[in-house]
Amino acid sequence: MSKINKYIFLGLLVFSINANADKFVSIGDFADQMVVKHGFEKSQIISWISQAKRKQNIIRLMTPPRRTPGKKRRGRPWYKYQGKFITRNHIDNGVRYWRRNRHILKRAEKKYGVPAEIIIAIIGVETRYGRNKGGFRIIDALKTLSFDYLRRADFFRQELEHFFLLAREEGSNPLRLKGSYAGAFGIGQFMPSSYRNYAVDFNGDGRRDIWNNHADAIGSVANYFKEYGWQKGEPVMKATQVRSSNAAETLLGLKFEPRYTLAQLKRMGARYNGNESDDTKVMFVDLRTRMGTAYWIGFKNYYVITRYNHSKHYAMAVYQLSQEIARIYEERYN
Amino acid sequence: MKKDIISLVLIAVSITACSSNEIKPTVKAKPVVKKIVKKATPKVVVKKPTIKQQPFVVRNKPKKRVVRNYMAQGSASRYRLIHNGMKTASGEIYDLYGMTAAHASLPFLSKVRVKNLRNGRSVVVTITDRLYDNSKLIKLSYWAARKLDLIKHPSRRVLVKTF
Repeated sequence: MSKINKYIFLGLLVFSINANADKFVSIGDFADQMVVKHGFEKSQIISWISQAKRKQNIIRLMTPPRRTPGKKRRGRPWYKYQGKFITRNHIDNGVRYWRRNRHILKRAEKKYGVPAEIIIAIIGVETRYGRNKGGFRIIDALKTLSFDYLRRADFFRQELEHFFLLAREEGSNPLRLKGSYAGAFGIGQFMPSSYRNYAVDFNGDGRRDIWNNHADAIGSVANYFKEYGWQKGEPVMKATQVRSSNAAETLLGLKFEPRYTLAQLKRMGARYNGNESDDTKVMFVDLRTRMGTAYWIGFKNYYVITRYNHSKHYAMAVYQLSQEIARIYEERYN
Repeated sequence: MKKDIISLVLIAVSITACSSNEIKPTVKAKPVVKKIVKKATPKVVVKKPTIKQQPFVVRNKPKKRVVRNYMAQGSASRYRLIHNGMKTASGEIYDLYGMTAAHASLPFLSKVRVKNLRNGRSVVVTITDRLYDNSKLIKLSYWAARKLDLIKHPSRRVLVKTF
């Protein structure tokens, strides 16, 4: 009986994976596309891809945790996520990183209008200030995720395309570049498409080396934020009260984008006490703290941080880490 | 020529007089203004709108203040969860992850060091609120209290000190 159940369950699992997976494209077809679109040699592409390995642990890392049907998953609360990034270590190293790269950061702040502490916090959360850039070959990760794992294959196939273009433009060997298990690389963990669109040469040596050069990495992160519409001097998020728990529920039903005006949110039951004008575009954020659920108003800049990684916890972690770093830095050096 | 100059000066004086107490110009001053304005050239009259009430402008931020030689010991309380997003007496919004505090007398936006005398941990907080509880010395934000380990042991004595 239990065996039968297991098979049914497995069948369901396979079915559900297939239901929301992207369509499979063979390596040959992909290579053909690369030839037509960008004039690569087909044999070259095939040889690169065939030299890449399919990594089972990448698939395991990318698979979301299984859900029990019918039960609403609440996910990990914010305070557990917070405990991983808002630590003594992260803050102290961030302050030191700021001190070490203060001239570069000042220049980036001036040129792109993004505060130094935000750039530092991003780099800190992504790779612990460049210490953990990922040990997978990018080509292994992208091959596995575009041909052997179909959940987001379309996205990763595009990234693979960008990756080959990147290697050609930069004149580097695609088999040697390293990154994370999702194909992100460098001190700021850029995806290949982001690298091609937003990475900048910030130390003036003519190369965009975000693997080893902190100036280029800092400039690239700042440019990424600027391109996604970072508003200089504007707030990121501010705490708010809500009129009732019912109001909180309706507010949480909203989209995770700053497409509502403050006036709209106030009408729906947010009791916000700031002086921002009523037509400011904002979004509603809830976080589970150790004491209970608390609420914030996220502004455009909050949304820009989520463009780096689409998660409310990620954005809050970056923001809070940046605040902690800035506080200590000011105490110590100003 | 001389008359003109005198009248101009008079106008200037009357204008400044008006603007200084624009709400209630004295009864005496009124006829004087009218008389001279009639005589004066139109150019001068154009200047009159300066008397109009200026639009109300909110000052950006109160000035940072530094207090010296303040030191006190006492017990601390902390804000509750529902206070997240509340408007404090200084006008800033209370954020539970901020490093702020309420105090009975210290000026707003002044910074003080708060030390937990039991474990020696200390934090720097900004005064943003007024405290009306005589039994407590200071009321800390959640995050500040947490850093001092006052969540588990709320009744520890603290030392509040300016730099």
